[in-house]
Amino acid sequence: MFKLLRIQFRVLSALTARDIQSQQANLAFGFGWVMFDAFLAFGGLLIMKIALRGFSGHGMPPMTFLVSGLIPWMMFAQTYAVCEGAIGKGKNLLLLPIVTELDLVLASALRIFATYLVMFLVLAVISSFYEDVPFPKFALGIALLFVSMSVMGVALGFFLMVLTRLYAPAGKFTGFFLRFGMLFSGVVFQITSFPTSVWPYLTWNPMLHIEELLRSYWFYTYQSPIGSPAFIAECLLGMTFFGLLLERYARRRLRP
Amino acid sequence: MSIRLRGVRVQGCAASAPHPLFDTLDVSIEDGAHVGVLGAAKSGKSTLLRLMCGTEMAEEGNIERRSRISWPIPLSSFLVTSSKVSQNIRFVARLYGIADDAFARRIAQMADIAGFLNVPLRQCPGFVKQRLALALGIGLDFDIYLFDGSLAPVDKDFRERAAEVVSGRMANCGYVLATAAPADIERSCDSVYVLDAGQARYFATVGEGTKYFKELLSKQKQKQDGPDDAGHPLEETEADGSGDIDMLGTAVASAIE
Repeated sequence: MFKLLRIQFRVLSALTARDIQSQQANLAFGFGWVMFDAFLAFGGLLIMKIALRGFSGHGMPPMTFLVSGLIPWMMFAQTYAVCEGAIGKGKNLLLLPIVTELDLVLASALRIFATYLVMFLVLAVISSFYEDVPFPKFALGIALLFVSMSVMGVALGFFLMVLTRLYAPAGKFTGFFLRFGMLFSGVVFQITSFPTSVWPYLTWNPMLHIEELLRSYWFYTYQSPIGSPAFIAECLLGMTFFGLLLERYARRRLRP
Repeated sequence: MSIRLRGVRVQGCAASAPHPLFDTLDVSIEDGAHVGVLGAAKSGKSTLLRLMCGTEMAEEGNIERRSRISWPIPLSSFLVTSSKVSQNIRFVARLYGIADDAFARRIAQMADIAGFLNVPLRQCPGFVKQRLALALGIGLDFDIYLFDGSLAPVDKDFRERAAEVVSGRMANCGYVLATAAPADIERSCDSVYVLDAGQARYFATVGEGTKYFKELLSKQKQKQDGPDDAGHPLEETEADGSGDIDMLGTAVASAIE
């Protein structure tokens, strides 16, 4: 068991390193441009947020508010979107017996995780200094939530992969719903921005719980009325199990 | 230590094809054995190798692998052309847990491409990719090596050296050579499987196997051309596996012996 895990870790690290190297490989500073793209996306939303003003609550300045919610969401969104692409891109690597489709997806997810982790740390330090926000209330909780979002992204990615392999046009609808879902996942607006009457229709969403808890663990002035670690843990376990099950099914029965 | 395929069924690329590519296929390869797989074009030689190494899944049946098995050599499609030769070698080394820094140099020396180590693969001459693919395949420690088409598929200038290298590596290992050239099998294998109508027929002696294969080819040719048109000169050439690959097989086989 330990030997197998060691091999798995070895394969994943080799694939992730290769994935990072091959990003924008035709440009000088290849991987740097990936970071630049992510910073640009964040910058655009920050400008919008500042221009709209007033949506974050007291003690949650806009830049830190966005860093705490948007960067993990961007990582989640990229992770769930990358699954099918990672397999398509790494088709040639699947000819090596040691590499599986799951390895390719996990390596891409790790690359995205590493990119956004660096960005998260850099922007968190910058925004905390700039807006004079104290060190997060519960840093370990934030780290765990950040990892949970990545794992949920992979699980959702497998679900979407199977869905699109079964019914190709499904991607047209899921893309719309997932982009729309960002508005109701606490990324730009916290739950207290919505009337309490609509809360029961929103709290099924594990992403909303994660985003709410991220703010609660970060800011001393905000205590989420709905964030539940137990609910997140249940969803994480369920989604991971279901995602891996679907991956296995797709590998055997639904070739791309 | 072996590879065993039992009752394997594979439909093949064309799902609508009237017959499956393999149906109740049984194949056993023992460690240290030098086994040939003979088959006409599109008979499933490459698919069989992929089934053996685990990159292709069978729809039915059981495949047991109790050995470290290579990928079908010379596989080069996983090489990244925008990366340097050394980066490509390091990637494979990392993948297979070789922490030795000298591995890249060893592979480069084996393939006689040491001068290209720090050059992106796309800027290298064509032979570098061929040699690198061969050296990476045989440079790693496996119990059974799988060769698709030829034992040393490289450029003319490197053939003799490749034959030496391959023979050195294969002396204590098993290998499977899948080809359509019976001459290659005669020179370098101890036993042979002949692929025919979704089955693999085993011959303990290569001579019988190649004879059966040649008869099979001529029957197929007769069927295609009609009864009066048998004995086309081209058929003889193909069945004997003469030409470039044949010469190469000779070099490798004599080196192994």
